[in-house]
Amino acid sequence: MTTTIRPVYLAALLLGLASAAGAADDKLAASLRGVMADNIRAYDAKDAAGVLGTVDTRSPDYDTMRAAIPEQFRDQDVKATLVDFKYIGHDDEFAVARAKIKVEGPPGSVFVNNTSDRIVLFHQEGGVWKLWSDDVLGVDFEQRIGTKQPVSSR
Amino acid sequence: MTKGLMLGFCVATLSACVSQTQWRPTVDTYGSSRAQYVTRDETECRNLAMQASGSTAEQAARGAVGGGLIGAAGGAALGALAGGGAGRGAAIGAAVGGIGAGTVRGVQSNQDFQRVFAQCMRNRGHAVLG
Repeated sequence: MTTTIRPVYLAALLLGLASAAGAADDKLAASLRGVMADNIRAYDAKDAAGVLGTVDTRSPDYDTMRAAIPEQFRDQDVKATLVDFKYIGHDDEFAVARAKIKVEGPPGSVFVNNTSDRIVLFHQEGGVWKLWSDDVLGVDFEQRIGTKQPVSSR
Repeated sequence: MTKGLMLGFCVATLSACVSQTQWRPTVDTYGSSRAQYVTRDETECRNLAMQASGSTAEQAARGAVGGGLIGAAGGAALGALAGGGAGRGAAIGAAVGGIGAGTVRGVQSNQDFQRVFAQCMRNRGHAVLG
């Protein structure tokens, strides 16, 4: 009897752990998506402190961001949208997701609307997940003359 | 290997993939009578170097990719650079359609860009260290 019950308990335990892990991943995925959304929300609000607040201060890109953001806000009036976000995984230190971000300029501007497909790395700073870096997999630029069909850069 | 992966390879592994909007040669202004013109000359030489190296929206976009801008800021840089590059309208499509198509071409372009930029600054009387 016990030999049949034990595997059942074990299976139940493993399923429980898997379920807990799945729930933890769901929570992490939502948290990371929130960081990405906060970055974009702050960018749209031209809130430089808000944008930088979503970036880990130890990121190799932090200083570049800090220098570039005020310039971008001064020179451009664009709107960013998080088109897609897929959590990929994590280890003890980093979490990884794939995000598609659309950025549009005002009508009549020279800005070329584009949607970039990015692999984004997140890192915890003070117990809070923040952006660490990203790599662009490809960019779809929207033609401003003629067809509106996106032009893939991949 | 996909074009996107080649682009990623270029960005991740090749130091020659400089940002053409941010890289500048190191200039020693000590004792220089032309020190006050460094910024102006950098702007003009950058534009000349981008033309001489065949910089297009594609390469400008590659520069943005290597520029270290994360999230929305990166997309904003891409759109601005593509708009300010050689391409306009349909030409943008033609130019960026080939992004990542030739890592070697991109590296050569960046090396040309750096070489022309530095030479231009020297021609204007600045002591370029590298």
